[in-house]
Amino acid sequence: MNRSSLTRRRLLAHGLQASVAGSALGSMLPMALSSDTNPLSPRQPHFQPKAKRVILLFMPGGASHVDTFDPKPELQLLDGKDRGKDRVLSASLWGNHVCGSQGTRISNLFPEVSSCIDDIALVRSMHGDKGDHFEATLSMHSGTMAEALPGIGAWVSYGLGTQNPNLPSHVVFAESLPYAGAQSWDSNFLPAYHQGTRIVPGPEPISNLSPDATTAAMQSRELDLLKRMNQRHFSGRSDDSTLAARMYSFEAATGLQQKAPEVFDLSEESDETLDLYGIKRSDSRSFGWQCLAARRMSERGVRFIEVVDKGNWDAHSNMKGYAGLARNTDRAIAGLLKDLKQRGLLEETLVVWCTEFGRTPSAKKSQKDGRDHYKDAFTCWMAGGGVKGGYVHGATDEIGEKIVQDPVHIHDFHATIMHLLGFDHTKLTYHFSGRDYRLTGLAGNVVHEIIA
Amino acid sequence: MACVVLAAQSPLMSDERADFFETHIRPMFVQKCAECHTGNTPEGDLRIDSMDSLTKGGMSGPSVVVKDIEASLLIQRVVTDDPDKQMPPEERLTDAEIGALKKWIQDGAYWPEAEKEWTSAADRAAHWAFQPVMDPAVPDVQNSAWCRTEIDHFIAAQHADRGLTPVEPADRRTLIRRATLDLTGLPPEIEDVEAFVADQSEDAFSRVVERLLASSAYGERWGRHWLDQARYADTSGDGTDTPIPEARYYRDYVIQSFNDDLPWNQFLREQIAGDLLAKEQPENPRANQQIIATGYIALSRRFGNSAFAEMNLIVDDTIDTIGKSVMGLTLGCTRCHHHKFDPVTMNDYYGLYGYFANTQYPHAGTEHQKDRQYFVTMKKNDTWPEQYDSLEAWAVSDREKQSGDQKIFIGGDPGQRGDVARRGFLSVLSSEFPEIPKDSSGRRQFADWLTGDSNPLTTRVIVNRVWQYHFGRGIVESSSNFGLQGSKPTHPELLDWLTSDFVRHGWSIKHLHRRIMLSAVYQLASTGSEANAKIDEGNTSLWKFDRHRMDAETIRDSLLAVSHRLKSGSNGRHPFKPTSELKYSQGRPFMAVFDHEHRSVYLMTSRLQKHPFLALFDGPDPNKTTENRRESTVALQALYMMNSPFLKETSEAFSKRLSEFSSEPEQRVRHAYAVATAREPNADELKEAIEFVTDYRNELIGQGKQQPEAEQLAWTGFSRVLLSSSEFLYVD
Repeated sequence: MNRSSLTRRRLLAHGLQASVAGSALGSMLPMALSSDTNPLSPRQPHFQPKAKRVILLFMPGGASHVDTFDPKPELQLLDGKDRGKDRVLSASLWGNHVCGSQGTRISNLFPEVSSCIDDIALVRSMHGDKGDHFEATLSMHSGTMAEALPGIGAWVSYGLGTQNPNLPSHVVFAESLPYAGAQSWDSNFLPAYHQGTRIVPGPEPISNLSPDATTAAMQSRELDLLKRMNQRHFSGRSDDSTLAARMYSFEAATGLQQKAPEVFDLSEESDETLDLYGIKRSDSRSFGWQCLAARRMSERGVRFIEVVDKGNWDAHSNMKGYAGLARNTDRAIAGLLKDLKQRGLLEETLVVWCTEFGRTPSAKKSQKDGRDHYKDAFTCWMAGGGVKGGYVHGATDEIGEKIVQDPVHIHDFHATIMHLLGFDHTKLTYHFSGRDYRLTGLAGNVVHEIIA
Repeated sequence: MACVVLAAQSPLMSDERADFFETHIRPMFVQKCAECHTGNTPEGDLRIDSMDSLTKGGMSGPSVVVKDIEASLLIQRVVTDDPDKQMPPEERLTDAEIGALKKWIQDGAYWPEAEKEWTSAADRAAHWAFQPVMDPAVPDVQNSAWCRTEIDHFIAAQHADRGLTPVEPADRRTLIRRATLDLTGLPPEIEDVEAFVADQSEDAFSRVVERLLASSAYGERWGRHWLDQARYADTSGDGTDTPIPEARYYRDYVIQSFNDDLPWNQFLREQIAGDLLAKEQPENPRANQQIIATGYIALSRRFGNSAFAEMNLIVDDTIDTIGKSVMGLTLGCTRCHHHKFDPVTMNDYYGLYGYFANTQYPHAGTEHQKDRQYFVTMKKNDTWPEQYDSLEAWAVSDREKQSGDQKIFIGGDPGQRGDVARRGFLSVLSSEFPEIPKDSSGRRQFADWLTGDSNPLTTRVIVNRVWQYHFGRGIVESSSNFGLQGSKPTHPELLDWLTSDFVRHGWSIKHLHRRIMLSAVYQLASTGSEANAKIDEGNTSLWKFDRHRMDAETIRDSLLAVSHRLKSGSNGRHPFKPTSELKYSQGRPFMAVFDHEHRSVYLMTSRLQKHPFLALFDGPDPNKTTENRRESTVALQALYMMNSPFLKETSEAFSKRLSEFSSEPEQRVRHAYAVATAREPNADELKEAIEFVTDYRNELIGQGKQQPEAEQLAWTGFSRVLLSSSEFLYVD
C-alpha cells in the first residue's frame, strides 16, 4: 500500500469541518491541514460549472403532473371515459392557461409560478422505477432503493465541499420527515460530514444550536478552559492532526452557534422581500419562510439545500386538497425565483422542483375524485443554474399517460444536475466495499437540451 | 491520450508487467469480455481466459499476436467503427482501455505463468485469500528482548526489515484504560487502576485481561461489534419500518455468546442453520437459542409495502451480509453479473440463493399485510429468560414447500430466468456439491461448509476482525473484502499463524484476545517518532499504538458510567405499542427515538431513522453490514458537547458525584481527573481547575445567584469541560 496516500486518506477520514486559514489555531496546525486536505473546503468540479449550488424543493407523496405542470386539455373533454379494469379517465378539477414567451401551458393552481415560467425548464417526460412512496423517495434522492446509498445532497457536498466554514454544506428543511425518513439525506458510506443537517422550522432549527440561559452566560469561560486542556493534551501529541481538527471543531461550532441564528433571523429582510414570498414578519415556519431561509443559506455558501414540503401530494380519493397544497407553495416558490433573480443569484443557483412520481390520469370508479401513483410519466422542473428558461423538454400523450418524446429517467435527471454543477456523473465516485459507487448507478445520460 | 502516454514509456519489467496485467488487463477482460467469451460454448468460439485461447483465437482467427498490434484481431475489433464487428458490442472501450490493450500486446502479452488457463482454480492460486491457511514458523528476530509473545516476532521482523524501532511501552495507567475501554467499552474504575499500578507481579496485566474478559460488560462491547456486522435493527426497514420487539432476543443471544465464548464455528453454524440444529435435537437446552440465532438471516432488510416485496433483494441482503461479514467477499455484486474482480460467478451466487429461496423468512407486518407471519414459536424451558414476553422468535425456518435449486435471474431481473444453479459453495474454494435432503433448504450443509476445513476465509476473516477492533485497523485493512480489490495483508504470515492458533484453540475468541493483548505490540505507547514516521507514517508496521476516538456507544456509555447513571443489564422490551397494535403504513411509518440509561447496545435501533446520538458520532449503518466505524470530527459534535441536554444532565450528575466525594475543591479535582482520565492532575492543572471554579462561581454570584447554586453550577461547568475534553474522549 502506498503509505503517503494511506496517511492522507486517514486524515481525510477524520474530516475537518472548516477551513483552517485565518483561525487563531491556524499557526499551530501541522502543514497537513492545509485546505486541500480539508474535505469540506471548496473544491473544483471536473469542468467549468454553470451552477454553484442547488436548492431542491421536494414535494412528498407524488405530485400529479396533469394537475400541475403538464395539464391536458384533451383529458378535460374525456372525463368519465371508461378505461377498463374499473377505471375511468378523470379531468383535472382546475383549468389551465398558457403563459410565458413560449406559450407554455400550466395548471391554474400555480398563478405565481406561472409568472416565472420564462426562467423554468420543465421536464415533462420523467419516469422512474418504483411506484410506491418509500422506494420512489429513495430513488429520487439516491437513484436506487435496492440498497441504502448516499443521497444527491451528500454527493454534491462530497464533490464541492462548502464555501462557509460556519455552516454545514448540506442542509434539509424538513418540518415533518418525508417517506423513508432521514435515509434520503444520509451520507451512508460517504464521510459523515456530508450528511444533511436537518433543520426543523421553529424555535430550535438545528439540534443543540444554543445553550440554555445559565450556560450561555458562562460558555466562553468553559470554552476557554476546554481550549487550554485540549491544547495541553495536544502538545504532547502534536503529530496527531485529528486532535487539532477536534480542537478546531469547537471554534467552528462557536461560529455555527453565532451564524446560524443569523441565517434564520429575517429582521434585516425588507417588507417587499417578505411579501415576495408571501410571509408575515412573525412567520418562522411556513414553506415561504423556509424558501427565504434557503435563499439566505445559499448566499452564505451552503451547497445543497433541500426544502421538503410539509404537505403530502398523495391523493387517492380526492384531488381537492391540491388547492391548499398549491396555495402553500406557489407564492413561496415564485418568490424564491424572483428574489434570487433580482439579487443576481439565480444564474448560479440551480432550483429544482421534484417529487416522487406522477399520478394516473384515470381514477378508480370507486374513488372517482382521486388519482393513483404513476411512475411511468411525470413532471419535474429546474430553474436558474444554467438551464434554458421557458423551455419544455419531453412530452406525454394527450392524456398524460405515455411519454411520447425524450424520456428522462431519474438517473438522467441526476446526471444533468451533476453536469450543471460541473461534474461528469460517471467520474464522481467513491470507492467502498470493493466497488466504485456513484449517484447514477450504471446509468444516466445528461439531458443537454435543457442546458442554456 | 492514455495510449500515447503509455507508449512513450519504456518497456515494462516483468513485475511491472504482472502489475499492469492485474490492474489494467484482467479487470477489463472480466468486466467487458468474460460474460460471452468464457465457458464451454463461448461466443465466436473465442475464449479470453487463457493465453492459449487468445493466440489460437476463435472463428475469425488468432486474436492476439504477441508484440504485433496490427495483426492482433483483438485490437481491430475494439477500434473498428463497424457496429457489426465492434467489441464489446454494446459499449465501445475507452481510449485508455484500448491504449492499455495495445501496450499489453506490445510488451509481450504477459500472462501469469501459474495460470495456464484462467479458471477459478488458477485464480485461487493467484490470490492469497483463497489459499489454505498456513501455519508459518515464528521468525527469529534480533530484537527478541522486545518480544513478549509469538505475535511480536512477526511484528519485530517487519520492524527490522524496514528499519523501524518500536516506541516505548505504554505506562500502566494508559494501558489499563486502553484495555478496559477495548474489552468492555467502559472506562476503568479508580480502584482497578490503582490496584494495577501497585501490582508489580509478572502476570499483573494478564489478570486484568482475565477480569475484563469475565465481566458481563465484555459481551456488551464485543457483541456490539458483531451486531455491526449483522446490520442489527429492531425494525424491518420497509416503507412502514414496522417494529420487531423480538429482534432483541437475537441481540441478547449475540451478547451472551460472546460472554460464554461460544466457539466461533458453532456461533456461525447456529446463525445460519440453528433452526435445523434445533429440529435435530429438540431436547437440547440450547434449542431455543439456536432458533433465535437465525435472526441473523431474518434481519435481512425488507422492502416496499407488501409482505416479501422484492424478495430477491431480501435474499440479496442475506447473501451480501454473509459474504462480507463471514467470508470477506463482496458477493452482492454477482446478483446481476459475474464478479468483476473476484472469481465468483452468477452460478455461485444463485447456488447460494437456493438455500435462502427455500427458507421461510418471517414477516413483521407492513402496509398491505399488517399481520405478522411466520415467526418461529419456541418451547418454554428452564433456560427461558423471564423478561422475554413472547415465545415468538424473529427467526427463519425451512419452507414447507421446497422448490429445489434456483434458476439464475439474468441481469438480476427475477422476471428473466436462466439456467439452474445447483446449490453449492463458492466454486473457487470447492467444486463439491452437498447432499441436500429433498425436504430441506440445505442451510445445514452450507453452514457446515462455511465453518469447514476447505474454507480458508471464515477463520481468517474473524481473526482479522478481532485484530481490527483491538488496533483500529485489520492486518487486512478492508476487513470485509478479502477479494482482489481488497487490501493486501500487512503481515500475511502473522495472520495465518494467528488463524491456525485460533483453530487449534477451539475457535475461541477469548483465547484470541489473550494472544493479542499480552503481546508487546498491543502494549506500545501511542507516542509519535519522527524517525519512524519518515519510514512508515501510516504506522502499518505497528511501531506504535494508534490513538483513536471512542466510538459512539463508548462515548455515551462512558458518560453515563462516570456520572454514576449507567443502569446495568438491558431495558427489556422497548416501549413499542403492544404487538397486536404494531400496524403501520408508509404514510405513517414507525418513527420514534426511545432513550434510557442502559448501555447503548440496548438502544432501540430503527432503520429509517438512526438514533440521533449514534448518527452524530459515526454509529453503525442499520441497513447494511458495517465493516469498521469511521471517525468524523464535525462542528455539530462540538455543539452536542457544548449545548445538549444529555451533556448537561451528565455534567450535573458528575458534579454531584464530586461533591459527594469531598467538600474540598482540591480533592474534587483530583477525583474528577482520576475518574475521567485514570491519572492524577499535576499542580498546574489543579490550580487551573480551582481558579476556574472560583471565578465561575463568583461571576454567578455577581449576577445575583445564591452561593450554593452558583457553586453547583460552577462544578457542573468544570465537569462539562472535562467530559468534553480530548483526553476523556480519546484512547491512547
